[in-house]
This record gives sequence, structure tokens and C-alpha cells, in this order.
Amino acid sequence: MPWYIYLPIAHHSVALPLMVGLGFVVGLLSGLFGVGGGFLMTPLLIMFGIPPTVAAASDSNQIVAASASGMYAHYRLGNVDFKMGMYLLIGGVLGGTGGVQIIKVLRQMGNADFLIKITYVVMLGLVGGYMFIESLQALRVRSGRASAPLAEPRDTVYARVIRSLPFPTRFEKSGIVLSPLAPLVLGGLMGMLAAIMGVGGGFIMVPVMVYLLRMPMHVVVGTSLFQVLFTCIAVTIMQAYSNRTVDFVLALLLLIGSTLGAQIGARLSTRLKDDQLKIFLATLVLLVMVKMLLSLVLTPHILISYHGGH
Amino acid sequence: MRGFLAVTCLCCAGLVAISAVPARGGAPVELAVGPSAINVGTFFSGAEVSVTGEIPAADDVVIEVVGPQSGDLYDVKGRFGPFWMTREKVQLENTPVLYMLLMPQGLDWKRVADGLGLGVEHLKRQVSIGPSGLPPDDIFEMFVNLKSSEGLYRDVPEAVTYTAGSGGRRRFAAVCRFPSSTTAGTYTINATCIDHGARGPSVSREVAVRETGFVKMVGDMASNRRLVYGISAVAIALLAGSFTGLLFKSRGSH
Repeated sequence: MPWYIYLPIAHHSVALPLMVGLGFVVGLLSGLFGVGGGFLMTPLLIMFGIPPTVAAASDSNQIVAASASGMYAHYRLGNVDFKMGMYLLIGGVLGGTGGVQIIKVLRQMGNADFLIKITYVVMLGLVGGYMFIESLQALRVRSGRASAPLAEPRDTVYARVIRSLPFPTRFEKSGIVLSPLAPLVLGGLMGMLAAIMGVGGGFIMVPVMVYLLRMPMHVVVGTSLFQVLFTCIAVTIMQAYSNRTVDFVLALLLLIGSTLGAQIGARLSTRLKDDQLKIFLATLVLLVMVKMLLSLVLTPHILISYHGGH
Repeated sequence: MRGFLAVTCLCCAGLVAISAVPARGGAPVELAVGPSAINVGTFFSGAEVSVTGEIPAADDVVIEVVGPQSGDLYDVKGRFGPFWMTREKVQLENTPVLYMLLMPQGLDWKRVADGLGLGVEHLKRQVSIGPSGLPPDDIFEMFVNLKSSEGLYRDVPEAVTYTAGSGGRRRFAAVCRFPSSTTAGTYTINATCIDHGARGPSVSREVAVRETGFVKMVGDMASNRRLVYGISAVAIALLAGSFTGLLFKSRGSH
């Protein structure tokens, strides 16, 4: 059996077990922690020599496959708020279109790779830092070292802004009343991130739905998957059309590993403690962030690259 | 007038006679390469081309592998505050996509090749560098570093071995490794005789590198029918996702 496979768009030969193994590891983490693997997959692909623009676009393609089966399962369980999902999706497609155009312009200028990396540094830093602190606090509370009661939710500026938005609409499945502008704008931001970072946006979308849209947890995952699936479909087609950076051979290799890893991870997760898992994931996320940050600030070994990131 | 014509004819005859004499070192170089074509297919991970031939017994040989000439635009990085990002674009012309110099065992061939104007460093003479805020030598050095990191530019010492050939001649052999990042095109392999440090006759052969089968189909589709390619990539991903979902009865994650 040949151990190498040639990626026709990346123009790069990769070790087959390495790519499937990479998919497996990210899938394992995805299954363990119940978060998307996209935000880890793209940086890891970049570390293994795949051009950032190809890594991001191909990862979007891989997420289409990964989220399709999940969304269908949640749809059958009745856990998808289609009305909310449609608003998030419209915003996501518009934001994704904007993100693809930003990448196109920056590729012309030669700084698309920089934007992808710096966006990752910021997002991984925020998400990893938040998770780390939150998990640490939870562990301390549990061990009795911090016993301060949780503060009551306050009427924040954000809450007042959301309430003042026009066209309040009732979302039956989620049981909330909200202006459609909120999911449109937030979906737009997620779509833009999906295009730039090559992620589904689940790791940002879930906290957004829980903390900003106040949706109940049981519909959050299914609705997030609905939005992620269709946003990534749109982003994949646009990246293929505008930037020619989707390598579906790479996407398929990753998918083989990630689906298997996700199944094993999901089974393992039931045997491990939540907060310890969270701290482990947060540490991993922060390490990836530091690695990417160092690649931006340390003097590169090679100071010239092919124009357009290839 | 007749005298002038006679002298001219004599000179021409002399030149023809001189050119008919074998080059310094005796008989011309014999060169064979195999395979003469490399297919970049689904499982391509680079290829090896065997280079063999014969030279006069007293001579040595160096082998150059030269890819098709190209002209490309490059991003040059510079520091902006704490970050390294693209500071300018620079056009480089007449750059072979691949260059290797395979040298024999024994002497300090790097020094000999330098003296003959062979090797990666000497490509500087043929490369044309567009306007840049940096000196051309610096740009060339960065460019060579980039190509070397991809395994596309190399001076390889002790790559040519000798054995006894037919008729008292010297038989040489070398293996040239084309890396997986080799692009399609016609590559030239030159074998040049070296006689006491002086350049002797040389012979060339061509090796064709071409994308084939699935790789060519996908590359063509992604370039020429982008929308169809994008929709196909999504359709395949949906099918693969549904199949694995059925296989594992997965609830998935995102």
C-alpha cells in the first residue's frame, strides 16, 4: 500500500497515515470535548506544511462532511430551531462572502496567510484563556477553596441593546423573543470567521447562542450544526470558485480519521471528569496559539514566499 | 579576388576539420537517463531518475538537472512592529523551477564547479530580479533558501560514482531525486566532461514530468470549471458524511 498521496490542489505529497492520524487526533478531541475540531485542524495542517489558504478552505470542506451526519441526527431528535438557524445562516452566508473577498484581496496583497494566523492567535487566545480560567474556577469551587456565591445576572448594556432592536420575533423552538437582526449580525460575524479561519464556527457559535442569544442548551447544538453545515457549504463553494484553494482529497483524508476519532472520543468522554478535560483542552488550545504567535514574531527561516500563499 | 576566395575556402575547411576532431579528452560523452518520463499521479511522492554514461578515462563528469524556466512573483517578508508580514512583492524571471548539480566523488568538486561557473550560486547570472527595496544579492539568497527548503535547488557532492567502462573508458552513474513538489514540464539533464579543471564537451537528455490520471483531472477541473469543482467537493463531503454517519450511527459534533 502506498504511504504517500499527492494533493492535487496543494501540489504537495503528504504521508497518508499522518493526515488520517491528524484527523483522528482532532476527531478524538472533538468527541472528547464536544467542540468542533476545525479550530485545531487548520493550525495543525499549517504546522505540517499545508499552505494556510489551502488548509483553511479544505478544512471547511471537511466540516461539511462532519457536520452533515450530526445535524441529521439532531433534526430527528427535534433539536433544531430552523427559524433561528435560517437567520444565522443568512447572516453566515453574507459574512462568509465578505470573508472570502477579504481573503482574495489579501492574497493579492500577499498578506492572507498573516490574516489567517493572526485571527487564529486572537480567537484561540480568547477561547483558550476563557476556558482555562472558567475550568480553574470550577475546580477551585468544587475543592472548596473558593466559596463565593455566583453573582446574579445583571442588566448589561448588551442586554439593553438587544431588547431595543426592532422587529421582535418569537422563536418557538427556543422559547425566546428576539429581533432577527441579532442572529443576522452574529451569524454574519461567524460566517466571516469561517471563511478566514476555515472553521465551522461551532466553538464560537455555541457560546454565542448560550450567552448572547439566551437559547436553551438542548437546541443549541443542533441549531449550531445546521448553521455550521450550510455556512461551510457556501464557504467551500466560494473558496473553490474565487480562490481555487479547496483540496477535497485532503478533506477526505481528514474526514476518515476524524469520524473514527470522534466516535472513540465520545465514548471516552463519559469516563473522564469534565473540568479536567476542559483544562486539558484549554492548555492544548493555548499551546497551539503560542506556536502560531511565535511563527509571527520570530524571524522566519525563509524571508520570501510564493505570491498568494502557495 | 580569386586569392581572397581561396583563403576563405581554406579557412572554412580548417574550421570544419577542427570541429570534427573530438573535443578535449577524446571521444564525446555518452549519456542515458531512465525513466525519460515521470508521471505525477495519485500516489506520487517524488521520483528517482538514473543517469548513466561513459566519458574518456582521464576525464571527470558533473551532471546538471535543470527545470523549465519560469518567472514568478514573490512576497518578501519584513518586520512591521512585532510581526513579520509581506513588505513588498518582487518579480523574478529566468529562474529554473529546479536546479541540481551532481558532482563526483573525490576532489573538492564544489571549488571546481565554482571555477567553471556551475552550481546554484551561479544561477545568479541568469536570474533577472525586478525592482525591490532590497539589494538583488539579498533577494537571490532568500530565493535560493526557499527553493532549497523545498528540495528543488541543490548542489550534491559525491553523487556521481565511477566504474570501468568499455574500451578503456570510464563509466559514470548517478541518481537524481525529483522531490514531490516537482511541477509538470520538460527537464534537461546535462552531463559535462571536466578535463583537468577545464570544461569539456557536454551532452543533454530530456525528462518529461506530467500530471496524469486523477491528479490531472482534479487540477483541470479546479482551474477550468471552478463552480462544478466546488459543488462536487461539497457533494462528495455530504455523501462521505452521510455514509460515516450511517456507519457509526453518529450524532456527530461540530
